[in-house]
Amino acid sequence: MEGKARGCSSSEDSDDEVYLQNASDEDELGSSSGSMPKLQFRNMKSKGCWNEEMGMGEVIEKNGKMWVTTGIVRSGKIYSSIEETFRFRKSSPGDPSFLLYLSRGHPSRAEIEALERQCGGIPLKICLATEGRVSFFSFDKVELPVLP
Amino acid sequence: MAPRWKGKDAKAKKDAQAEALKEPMSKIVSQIQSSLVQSDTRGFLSGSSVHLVVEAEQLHLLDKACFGSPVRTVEKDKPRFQLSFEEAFYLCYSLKCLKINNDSDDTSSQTDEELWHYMKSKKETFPCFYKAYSHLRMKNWVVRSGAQYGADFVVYRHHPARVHSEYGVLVLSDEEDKDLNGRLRVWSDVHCTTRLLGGVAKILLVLYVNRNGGSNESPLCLANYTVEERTITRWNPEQCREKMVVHANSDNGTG
Repeated sequence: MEGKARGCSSSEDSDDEVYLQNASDEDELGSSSGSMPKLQFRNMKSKGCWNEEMGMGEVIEKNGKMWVTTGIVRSGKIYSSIEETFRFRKSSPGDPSFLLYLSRGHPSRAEIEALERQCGGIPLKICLATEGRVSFFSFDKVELPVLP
Repeated sequence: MAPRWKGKDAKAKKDAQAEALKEPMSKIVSQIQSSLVQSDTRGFLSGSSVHLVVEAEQLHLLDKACFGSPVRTVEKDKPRFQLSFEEAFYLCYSLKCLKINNDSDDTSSQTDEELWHYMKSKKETFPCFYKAYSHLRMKNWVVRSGAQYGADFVVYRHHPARVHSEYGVLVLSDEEDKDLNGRLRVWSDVHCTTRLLGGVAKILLVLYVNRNGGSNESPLCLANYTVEERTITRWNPEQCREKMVVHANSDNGTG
């Protein structure tokens, strides 16, 4: 389903357009002394347009190698979720969605608990890699509700 | 995972949920408790289970409360009912509404200690299994055998006629020497169990029973046991993105 992208303008300066930085760009320290954030343009910048119907940014101009592994494909178009669009900055990435522990043997419960303490509240996944096949498992503490 | 109520259409599912709320499992269990006390129903040990001879009322209530299963016998005028060790001990020790004799001719009931020792002698894992069973029952979950799903138990929010079960349960102990149940010791068993349960739309729930240094010589030690609940799920990166997208859509009110 292809909805019309609202607010799309041919003007390069339109506020509705989203500029996606290439993942390989370095975050340079701005030398500006002003309080305004310094906007820097990149040669390899991509261009996206927010698609209200999809709830994602549609990537109109795709530059840089990061699109090999980033984005969500729908009907031949690449979209970027709001998390991918706005939240990730290399200089201040925030908490990861989860941490991954690569394991060959089955970790014991005590080992899992020790790993969890090191994760400081971030979800942990155990990754098992054998003969080229990869599986991810979560061992999550739960509390079954008391039913009526 | 949201509860999945049974019914042929949306209205029937809503009705099943409404019926369950109107008559919650805690109320039904209270009914069978009272009925067994009033009728002075006796069970008797029979191998690795406990048998009862019950009246129609008890039969009906036991089915509603999801304890045990009927046994077909040649004496059709005396319906028999069979309870697992966990079910029988729960009714006897926790709910105190059932007395259990040694055999069908005996007139004196076994003490809690005697029952405990008998059941332990027949089933080495009985202490941990009983702790897990009573833990779930005390939260008013229905607990049934998980044998057909390669698990120890399956748990339901209400009667299985009204709702699909959400979890297959494995009971593991935290003993230092070894886990008597012998499950999930190798990755292939984790794969087997999560895939089997996933294939029937259930999540693997592991109950870790910790004895906390206590013995298992008496049912009184159950008070020192603790239970930790964990789910084990496989994570699929592609599915994860689908979920995020759906979540983002619903956030924007366009879902």
